[in-house]
Amino acid sequence: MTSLRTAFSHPLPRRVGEAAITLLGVSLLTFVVLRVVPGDQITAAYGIAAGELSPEQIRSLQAYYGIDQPLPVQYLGWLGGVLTGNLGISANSGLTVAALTAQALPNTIELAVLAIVVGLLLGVPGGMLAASRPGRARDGATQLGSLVALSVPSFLLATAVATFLANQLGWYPNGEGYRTLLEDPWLNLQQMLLPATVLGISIASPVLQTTRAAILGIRAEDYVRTARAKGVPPRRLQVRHILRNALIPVVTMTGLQFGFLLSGALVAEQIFAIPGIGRQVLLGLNQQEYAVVQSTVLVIAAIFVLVNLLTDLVYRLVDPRVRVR
Amino acid sequence: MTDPGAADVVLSIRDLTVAFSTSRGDVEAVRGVDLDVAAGETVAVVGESGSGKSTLAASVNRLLADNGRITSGSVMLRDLDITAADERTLRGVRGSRIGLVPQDPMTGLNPVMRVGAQIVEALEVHGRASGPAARTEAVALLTRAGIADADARFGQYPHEFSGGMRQRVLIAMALACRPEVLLADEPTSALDVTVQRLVLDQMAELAADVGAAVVLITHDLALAAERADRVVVMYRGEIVESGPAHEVISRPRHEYTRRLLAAAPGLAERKVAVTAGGGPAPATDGEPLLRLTGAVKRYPMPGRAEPFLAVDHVDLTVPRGRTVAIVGESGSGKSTTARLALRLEAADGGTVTFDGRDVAGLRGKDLLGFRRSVQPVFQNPYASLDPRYTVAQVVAEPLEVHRIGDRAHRRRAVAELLEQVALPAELAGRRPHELSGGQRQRVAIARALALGPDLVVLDEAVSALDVLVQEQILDLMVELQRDLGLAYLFISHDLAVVRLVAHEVYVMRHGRVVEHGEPEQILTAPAEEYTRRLIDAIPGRSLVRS
Repeated sequence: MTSLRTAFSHPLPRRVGEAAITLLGVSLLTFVVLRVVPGDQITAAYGIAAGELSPEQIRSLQAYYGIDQPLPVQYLGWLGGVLTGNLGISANSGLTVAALTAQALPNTIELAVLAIVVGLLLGVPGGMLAASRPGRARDGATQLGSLVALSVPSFLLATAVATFLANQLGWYPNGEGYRTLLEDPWLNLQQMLLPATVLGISIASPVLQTTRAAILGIRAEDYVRTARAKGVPPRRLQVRHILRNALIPVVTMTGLQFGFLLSGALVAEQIFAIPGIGRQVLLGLNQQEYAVVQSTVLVIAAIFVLVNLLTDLVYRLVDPRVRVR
Repeated sequence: MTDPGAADVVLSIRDLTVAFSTSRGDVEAVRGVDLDVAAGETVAVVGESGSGKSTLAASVNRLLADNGRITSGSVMLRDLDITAADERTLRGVRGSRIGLVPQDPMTGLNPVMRVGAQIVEALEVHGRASGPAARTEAVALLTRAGIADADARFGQYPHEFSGGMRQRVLIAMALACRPEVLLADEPTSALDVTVQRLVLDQMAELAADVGAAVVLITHDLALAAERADRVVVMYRGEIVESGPAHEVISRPRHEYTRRLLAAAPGLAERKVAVTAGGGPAPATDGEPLLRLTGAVKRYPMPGRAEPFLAVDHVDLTVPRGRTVAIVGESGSGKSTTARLALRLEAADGGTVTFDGRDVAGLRGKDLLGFRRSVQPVFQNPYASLDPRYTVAQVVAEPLEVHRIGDRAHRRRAVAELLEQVALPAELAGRRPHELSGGQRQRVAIARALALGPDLVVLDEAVSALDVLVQEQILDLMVELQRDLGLAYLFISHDLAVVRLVAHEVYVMRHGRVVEHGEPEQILTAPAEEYTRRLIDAIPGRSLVRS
């Protein structure tokens, strides 16, 4: 009993336990919400023709889709499947959700990683630039830029950029069928460039603000004065003493943004025709494919939680004070 | 080396004036200061907060805040004019020719850099050593600064070091390049007295090794006199008195010096009489106000089966109208004992009774009644007041929580309370950041008095204050005790302060009370070696004896 309690007072097992509870909550919520939405797989499959089905036909279709069981049984059946690795089957395509996810997920992750890279490349130097002369023109311009970037919805930016490039320059890599990184790396990177930039711009803004605020705060710290009193030259002071400490909140921010990207990439995936996990959910929703939506949302939630766990681990790397001793 | 004229003068400050541009125009923090410091000599600069002593130190290595500038005068480091030097030259001087030991060791080290690397950096940026040679040198420096097992601790981070250990690291860092001048800006104000003494001993020894001229900035005249060859007293940006340490102490010429001297806890007169006559009558008959009997507090330790015994069977009584003090080092359990008395923590064993009732069983109305009777004042006046509340809101809040009086009544009560703690009425609308440390602590006391308590628990309530402000607060405490018949549970690490105000002293170590008695008895005839160490650590103690 006490050994169990000590085990859970250790940060890592506790975090894993919390993650499991979060996922259980997500599974229940998705399941319930889907059932509350009017219509079911039969109406989705047959449209208005569903009204002409005889009671026997409806019953046999319900049995076919597995929706003749009471809800708790359906839920437990699905959950049991998920726990044993069976995410369900997409009735329309006849493929397993696991197979669909295995195709879609790498695309989304690639997009998210690229967007984060773009966001950090824009945000961190931008924040450093803004913090270098606080209150001056450079700071104002950078902050205004970041505010605009934050305010423009990514679907608008995405549409505008794609239209402009296609119409004016005739460059529209996403017009062709999507190629994965393994199939055609060159075309894949061209196809990813635009959505990654559009998403990266929306992330750059919070990263910039966090970096700026952290640098300004840290510059006033006693240990920075200690370093200056030691004769540390400016560049080294900036990198070793200021930036190194300022990265701690930036890591937290980036982790949060990564999780947000997995779900927020939906719009960009749709506009740039990237067969990612966001599109998979959207398609599932349109066709009322319970299994696809439920399981995919759960997968997204699991990744979200996993990323947060990873952020914690990275956090431990950058900040020795929270390392497990 | 008490005669600077004949000595080898390293640092020479002439007619120095430093101004800060603020929203209210230029403010001169240092005015027309002359000062010479010779090699191997220690000069103490003494004054209260805002006297300009830290600004003086910051103009020696030119690390003034952005809005500060030297408007006239010169600072010469041998034949280098610091006031005229460019940034590149100054970088070469900082750390190599002028070392700095900052005030607060808890924030003075980079938290994400290993301790060893920070010392190595001091050597590397000035090309004194690099690679394995720098490491060897840094380990040697740490060892000499008094860090045991320096080789193993080289790779640790600052948070793995105690305050005293961190200050030793900072001292090692400041002296790494064998500088000609060592600036020590309140190097031990944030440390326990016993640690303070060890750290200052270590610093003096190392500085003497290097032959550095030491400028010691402090608010404590007793400490300055004990540690320095010469003492310079600063008041409102100007030097009002200077001379050999023993002379300034024995024959102070300036009125301000006399005030500082009278306020230094190690030298000052007691403020309360232990026996009747002058002090409040001892209320030894009947039940004491607060009684702890065999009180125990344990904290579970992560990863360990054995809990940590913070308070180990403590017996303690506080009679009505008296001041009972608990002294001890950090970690001795004195603050936890205070929390038990306040019922902020529940005792794991033994009993805590207030006015004859066990506080553990108090619920609802009774508990509220107890909360009205026992009020806390905490150490850090900067952190214990809500920054978004005005002074009036802070003081009125207890009245609101306990639903006492209406709006008009509360406003009158606040005015009376502010008067009681000698705060001008116009401060009522200010927020904590607009007040000085002493004013904030007065606000905290006014808040504690709002409900008319019988017992006030003061946890290191004057430790963060300058000696002069500390004296005023102590005077206020004594006065309030006389007028209102308050009892105090006074927690401090400083026996000198305790001696001034306490009727009875408990000495705590490792969660236990090791001895208790009247302060004079404890000070003159301590039964425990540990108590003797606390007494020896009082700054200025050696001056009193001689």
